[in-house]
Formats: sequence, structure tokens, C-alpha cells
Amino acid sequence: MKDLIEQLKVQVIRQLNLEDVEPDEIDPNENLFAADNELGLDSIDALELIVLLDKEYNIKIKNAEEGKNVFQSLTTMAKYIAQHQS
Amino acid sequence: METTTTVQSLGSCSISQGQILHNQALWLEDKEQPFGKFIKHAYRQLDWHYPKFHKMDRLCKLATVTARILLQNGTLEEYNSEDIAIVIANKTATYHTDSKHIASIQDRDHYYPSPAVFVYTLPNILVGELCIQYNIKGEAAFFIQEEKNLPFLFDYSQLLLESGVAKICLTGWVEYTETHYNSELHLLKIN
Repeated sequence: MKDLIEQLKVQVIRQLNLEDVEPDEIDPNENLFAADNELGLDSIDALELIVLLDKEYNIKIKNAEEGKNVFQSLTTMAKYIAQHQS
Repeated sequence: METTTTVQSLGSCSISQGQILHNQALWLEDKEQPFGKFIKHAYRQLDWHYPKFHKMDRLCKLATVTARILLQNGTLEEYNSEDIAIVIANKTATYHTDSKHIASIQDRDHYYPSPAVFVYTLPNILVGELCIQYNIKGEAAFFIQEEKNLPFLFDYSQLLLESGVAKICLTGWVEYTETHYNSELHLLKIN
């Protein structure tokens, strides 16, 4: 799980074009879309994360409600990927 | 910039190749750091929490930090939004980000255009970012020029100010390429 989270950090940085953010600057348990999150993610980034899951893990998010739960944090994303890939 | 009888300079900020000057005085210098680390260091020095900063492309980051250093004293807050103009120019528009977008759609078998990149493939977005940050709703323009030409920008700003279209104008040059970056912003007001 730890390796998957570290891999996700790199992929999220690349996918969201967070050009100058380092992986160790991302807290895997922090709410990705919280107003006070330094990354400042918005609805466009939510689309990008859906594309990331499809492109890198062949996982399709079925609806917005499911997406809201999956993308709460990098940890929830990693758990979802682990469940759906096994 | 020399002050004319009608237009006064309220300050300037420039960032170029690892050096930041505010009103001609050194604000930060590190010529060894690549742009990404340098601009992030400058952002942290501002002690300012702006969540959208990390999502911006490098051209917008350069403009944002330059403007923040120049405007953090709150001068623009004294003006009505509609009386604030913004006039910016550069040579390569958003070529650096355009190249990233093109790279993401080159391969037909792995065709994944990125909204996070695409949104910055227009130089007016830089103007938009600053308008959002400083509540600017007056005249806005972004010119593409062969070379940095501040006299032209100052003349254009003076026209806006003297004609009453604006009472204060943020103007200057913001350029980013893989090998070179340079920004110089000035705040001009009518006397």
C-alpha cells in the first residue's frame, strides 16, 4: 500500500500538472479537495483523476458519488485501486 | 520609468534568472536554483497561502509572484475594481505550455489531452489570474511583442489613465521559456 501511495503521488503530480510540487510535499491522508489544501484542486482536477484511474489502472469510475468517495485522499484512492485490481 | 506630469509610478518588481528586485532593491537572489524551485522559494518567502499557485503553469507563477511582491501593500484595494487596468505583454505567449499540450495529444493510441494543461494555453489566462487575485475589472489586454518594449506599455497605460478609462494600471512584461525567464511589472497611476 505504501508503494502504491508513493506511485500515486508521482502520477497525480504528473496528471494534474503540479510541475514544481515534490511527492513528499503531499500528505496522503489530507482531503485532496479541501479549501485549505495547498494543492487547491477543483472540478477540473477531479476529471483528471478519473482519467488517471482509467489510463494507469484501467478502472472506470461509475458516477460522481462514487468519485467523491474515491478521491477523498490519496489513501482512499490507493485502497480503491487495491480493491479493484485484485 | 520617469514620472510624467500626469502619470506617476507607484512601484515595480522584476524577476529574472534567479534575482528578484522590488523597487530596484534586492528582494531575493539564488542564481543556482532552477526556475521551479526558485519561484516556489519566492512564493514561500511571501508567507502567503494561495491554493491555486501550485496548479498554475510557469508563466502564471512568474506573473503571480511578481505581482504579489509589488501589490502586497494593498494599494489596489483603495480603487474601484472597474478603475483598475491591466496591460501585459510578452514574446512567446504560452509556448512552453502549448508544447506540453501538443505532446499530450501526439500519440493517437495514447490520446489523453489534459484540462489542467490546456487551461493555461492562452496568455489571457495570466491576466485572468491576476484579475481574480486583485479584483481587477477594468481594461485588460495582453500584447505579443517581438521584443520587450516597456515604453510602448507605459504609453498605452498613460493613454488609459489620461483618458479616464482607468485610474491605476498594472503593466509590464512577463516571459517564460525553457532557457530564460523575465518579468517586470509596474504600477502606474494618474497624478
